[in-house]
Amino acid sequence: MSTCSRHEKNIILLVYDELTEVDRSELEAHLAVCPACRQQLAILQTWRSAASRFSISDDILLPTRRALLYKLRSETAPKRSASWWSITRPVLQAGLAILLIFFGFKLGQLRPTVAIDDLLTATRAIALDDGTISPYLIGIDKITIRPGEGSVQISYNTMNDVRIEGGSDDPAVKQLLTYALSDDDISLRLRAVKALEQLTSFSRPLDESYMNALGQILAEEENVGIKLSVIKILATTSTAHSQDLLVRSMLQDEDEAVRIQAFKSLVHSRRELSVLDEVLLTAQTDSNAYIRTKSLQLLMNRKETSL
Amino acid sequence: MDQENHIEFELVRRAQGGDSKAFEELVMLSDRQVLTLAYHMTGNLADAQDVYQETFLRAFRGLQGFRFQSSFRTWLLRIATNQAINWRAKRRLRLFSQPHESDAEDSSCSQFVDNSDPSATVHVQEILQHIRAGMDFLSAKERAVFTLRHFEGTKIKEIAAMLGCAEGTVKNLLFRATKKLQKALSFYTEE
Repeated sequence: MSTCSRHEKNIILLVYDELTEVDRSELEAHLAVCPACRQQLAILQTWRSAASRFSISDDILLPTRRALLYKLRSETAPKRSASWWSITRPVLQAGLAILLIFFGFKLGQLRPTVAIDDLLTATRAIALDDGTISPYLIGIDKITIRPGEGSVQISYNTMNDVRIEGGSDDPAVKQLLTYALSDDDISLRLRAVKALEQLTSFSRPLDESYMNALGQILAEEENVGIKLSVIKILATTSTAHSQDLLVRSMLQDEDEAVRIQAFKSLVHSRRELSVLDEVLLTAQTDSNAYIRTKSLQLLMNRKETSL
Repeated sequence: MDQENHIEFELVRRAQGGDSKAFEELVMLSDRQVLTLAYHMTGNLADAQDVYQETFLRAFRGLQGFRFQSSFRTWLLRIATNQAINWRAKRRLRLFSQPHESDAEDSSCSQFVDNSDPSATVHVQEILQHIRAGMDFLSAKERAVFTLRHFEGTKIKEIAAMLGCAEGTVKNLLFRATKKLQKALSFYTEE
């Protein structure tokens, strides 16, 4: 049973008491004769009454409030008198300056334990005698796909330009690729998706951090080409997470091409039969004629085979 | 001006004059709403608490700039909404895109349901849980509009003023959000 598209928006506005008198009367007249729209109204009213039962309890609110009030009070607390400090401060500063010069001189006499080239081209944290340094990622310049080798080469900047090469399971590659997948630069996102496509063709399974990044793209990406590439990757990985992402794309994506691609991937891959049935049943409510017809056809075939 | 607005007006005036106790009273009047909004916008309690704190700290620091062109509540919810939208954008850019540990903890919604009518509680929890799951697939603005209207009871006109867009746009966002959620719910409830 489907609602009348003309009244869909007004049903939502009626639930939230946002309808004008004229529209309200017109809708009520329609509701009197349309069971589908009445059902839709009942569902949304259930949602609304559920929302009214949602409440943040005092057990959660009060500690959160206490932490805030503590922070606010520390911001407004009067500053301690600085009279003694204003006298001793110049003396301490001069002492500290002398100490720094002394230690700087001593440090210059020490032989470095790590080659300077290693520091300048650091890709990972480097252990020094007195601790470690961890290069801070500034940005990614380039991703080069190595066809036939199952690896990618990524050039990026830390304090200097750095280039690394590896497969999808290399921790540094994983870190940089997931970063690139959510970068603002569309060409970099596209390159990262293509690189993953290449890596999955070498049967390297993608772990959860990649899957989460791909899910984020499906939810937020505006470029259809990138989404289609993601669907292709998911089609080759038969995990529960990839199946979930494909189902969501088929159900929720606004672009028909993406929904069709997700539908095809679900149908052609070896999914569990119960999941496939659900997919085919739900697909019949899709606004796209191809998805509706194809799903109906497949359902009929499946019924015949089971008979 | 009704009594509630009058009290709020007086508290804001006193807080603007440097009375920190008055600001604390303003916090107590409105913080449940801010935390609820932050929770629905971020999807987990730990991040909601960060957004909550940042909202009030910003409001406190920017209180002198508040000119009573809207109610204090509207102004505060606008700050909270912007904070939550920025939080989502920042989360996208995090270098390590690991799943949020706290997402799984909170997913049942059971701790947020008023238990005064136990017979209806399980059903309500189920609906809220499905809505929560579906909200992950809304855009930041759809999520903001849906949360403000559905959970906070904010009128469409007020939401439009908060987000700086036309009422028609808010209606469209609410419509799109509801349709997306309904589609998601129909699938998951049939599983």
